[in-house]
Amino acid sequence: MSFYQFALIQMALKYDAKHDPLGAMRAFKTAFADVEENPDWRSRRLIERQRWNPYSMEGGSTCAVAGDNFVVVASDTRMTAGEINVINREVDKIHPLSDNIVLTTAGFHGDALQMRKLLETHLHKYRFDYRSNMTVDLCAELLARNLYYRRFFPYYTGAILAGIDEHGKGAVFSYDPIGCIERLPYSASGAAEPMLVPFLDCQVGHVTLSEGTERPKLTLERATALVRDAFRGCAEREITTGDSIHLVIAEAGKPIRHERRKLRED
Amino acid sequence: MSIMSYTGGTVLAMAGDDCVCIASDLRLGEQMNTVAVDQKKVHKMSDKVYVGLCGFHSDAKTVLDKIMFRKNLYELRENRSIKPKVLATIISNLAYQHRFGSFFTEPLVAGLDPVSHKPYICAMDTIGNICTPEDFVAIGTGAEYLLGVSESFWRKGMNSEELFEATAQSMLSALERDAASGWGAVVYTITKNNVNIRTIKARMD
Repeated sequence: MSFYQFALIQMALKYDAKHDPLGAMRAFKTAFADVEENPDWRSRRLIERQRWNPYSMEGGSTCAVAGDNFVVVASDTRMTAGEINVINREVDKIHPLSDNIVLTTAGFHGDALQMRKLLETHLHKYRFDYRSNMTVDLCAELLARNLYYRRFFPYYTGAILAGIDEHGKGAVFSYDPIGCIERLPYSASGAAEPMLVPFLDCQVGHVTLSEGTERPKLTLERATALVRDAFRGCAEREITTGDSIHLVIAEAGKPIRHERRKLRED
Repeated sequence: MSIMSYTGGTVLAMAGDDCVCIASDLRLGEQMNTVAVDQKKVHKMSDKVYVGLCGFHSDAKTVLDKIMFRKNLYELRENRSIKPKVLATIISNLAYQHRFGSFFTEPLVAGLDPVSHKPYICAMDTIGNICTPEDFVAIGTGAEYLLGVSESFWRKGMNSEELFEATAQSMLSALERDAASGWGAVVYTITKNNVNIRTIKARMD
């Protein structure tokens, strides 16, 4: 039997259209789908490269509340991989950039670090060029431009920039990954953002109170207590948020203070 | 957009000391369009047992009819009013019967036991997996928003007035941020002696 004949018999066995037309059809479809999925011209390396994802997500959440002469920035300290594995319990996601500017991030930690480095470099250069510190408004704009600069390969982070502005008032700037910027009285970002924000709406924004009701004043003590409560609630329900709260408090004319509180231990 | 958030809607139930609260928003939508602004997602099953149905509205209506049918049959056969736990099991069985082609609705049951007045709240997924926490449950498009606030507002042993306040404030805060729910809320406060129904104004958009 020649090789040609052998191949013919093999093919006939695979596609036996006479005795098993449905089976033949199925076999043909499978083979066709396979060819479509893995065409011969796609090398193993090409497939690997196309499957590679430049981003990862380390979870966690962060929030900031601005007051008359202070700003409270809070974040959890957990870092997760794949939403389940805790890879670090003591990560700092709040980065004080100068005496009156604090950057806080959630999302892809690699991008967050890169973003911090970028801002630090810019701030350093500004200090060198102008012999003064950058104001938080300026830094906020700088960050927005830098985020939008990478419009089509963005830093995968929900950033919040907080600080004390030149009038001595607390300032919070909220961003999306591509540099949409907004100055807000309070903001949250990260995995537990949908849990933090309504709570702050209720307690800081007083949106659920009817008109004419007396509103409690937002003191530093109240703001820190509220932020702690907000994170306690989130740690209860959101698995990538937990371990401990890292609070950074910036007051006008005072150095930045750090505070750490344990969250539920799981 | 998933089918579960096609029509929008949120329901929250909270348990207190011999009382439960169940609240729903009033919006009915079709993705981004608002179709009706007076659509309650909470339905009365018996004197002290209420059920909330979120998710795809057409399925919620169908499921409501089926629940009513089974509940009526139960009450006729047993000649007594239904317990919330029994109703939850009935709904769970109904949902699981459609395991491989489920209704796109998440049911929630809240009520007091007709005899012992013990509060009962539970929610289930689309295929009837019951979850019975002691504090509160939320379902629908705004569930995630509700969880954060409710977690802060709920505490053990609230009386009916405190419970109403906690439920209403949680609901209002969540409606502030959830675009698929809104147009006010209706809160049922179920106590041993009566059921108090209050409609509250939220962001009307």
